[in-house]
Amino acid sequence: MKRKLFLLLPLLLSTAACQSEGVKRIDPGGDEAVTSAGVDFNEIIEWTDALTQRMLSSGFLDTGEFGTQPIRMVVSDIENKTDLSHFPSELLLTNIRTSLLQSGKARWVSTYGEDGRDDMTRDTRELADDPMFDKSQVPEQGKASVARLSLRTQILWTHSQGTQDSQNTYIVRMWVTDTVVGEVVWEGQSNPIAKKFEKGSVSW
Amino acid sequence: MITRLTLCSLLALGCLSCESTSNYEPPRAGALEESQWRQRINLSPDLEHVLEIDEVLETRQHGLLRVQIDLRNITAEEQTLRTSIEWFDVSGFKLDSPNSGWMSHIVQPDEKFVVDAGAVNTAAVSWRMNVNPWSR
Repeated sequence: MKRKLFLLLPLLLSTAACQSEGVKRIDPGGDEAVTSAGVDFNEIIEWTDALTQRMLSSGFLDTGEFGTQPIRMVVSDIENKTDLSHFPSELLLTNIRTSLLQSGKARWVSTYGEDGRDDMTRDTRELADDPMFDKSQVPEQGKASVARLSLRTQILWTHSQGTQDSQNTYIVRMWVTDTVVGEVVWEGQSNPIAKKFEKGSVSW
Repeated sequence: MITRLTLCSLLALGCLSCESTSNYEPPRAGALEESQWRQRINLSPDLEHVLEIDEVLETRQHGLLRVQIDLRNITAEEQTLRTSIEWFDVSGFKLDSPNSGWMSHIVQPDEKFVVDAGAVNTAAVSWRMNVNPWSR
């Protein structure tokens, strides 16, 4: 009897192991979320909330200087100057774009720019050359909007090393340019995100 | 003699009243009464003896609702917590808002800090703030 129990023990143990956590859905910003030495999802969301707030509260979109609202904007270059080779810049920009659009103060051009592009405006006009389509439904040339303001982004990073620990600090810098005169009309940055870790504990 | 006494009394009374008004701080424009903000701040039970809410300001800036909550860590320890703000329209329906994400705060003992948020939707007329402990 004891021998049988002893032989069954590995089976019982492996069954218990199979029932332990495999994949589990978690709150992306909660306590169970993974903390990396880089920038995590909830931190990107914090950045976008803060930057949006700063843009809207500065009032530069409400001066009337750039025409009536909604003011046309375009996303310019996004420069990743960090150690993160795959920084999700689209995640950074989507909240900001959505917020400014919802505010009614800005509208994004999708025919050109570095984010949120949609070639369908251009493709639709090419249908005028295709005899299959009703030309009267094809939009006229010369109607697409030109952005008055351009949003440029840099993601910056510094690295510090102590005797036992290292630290990465990340920050987002953004500025808005008036494309008519080439002047910056707003500039701001996020709060820094700093991560401290033991040397050798992090591998990419 | 009586006139001097009367004058001195009046002067003394004036000084007393000056002293009491110099300590008086009128509420800031946009400050909400506690009865107004108490039901809008959903503080985790774990934080009831950790945080104190000093003042809540509400205003409309450039057509958008903006709120600022002044809090203080009333403990002798560093606290990590997170806050989120939800926005509601005139019918009480929650507005889908990209900036309703959690913001994290690392607060030192006895430190005052500010949660400052603005709605992105002009339909927002009220708000609710959630405050939870956070360990990362």
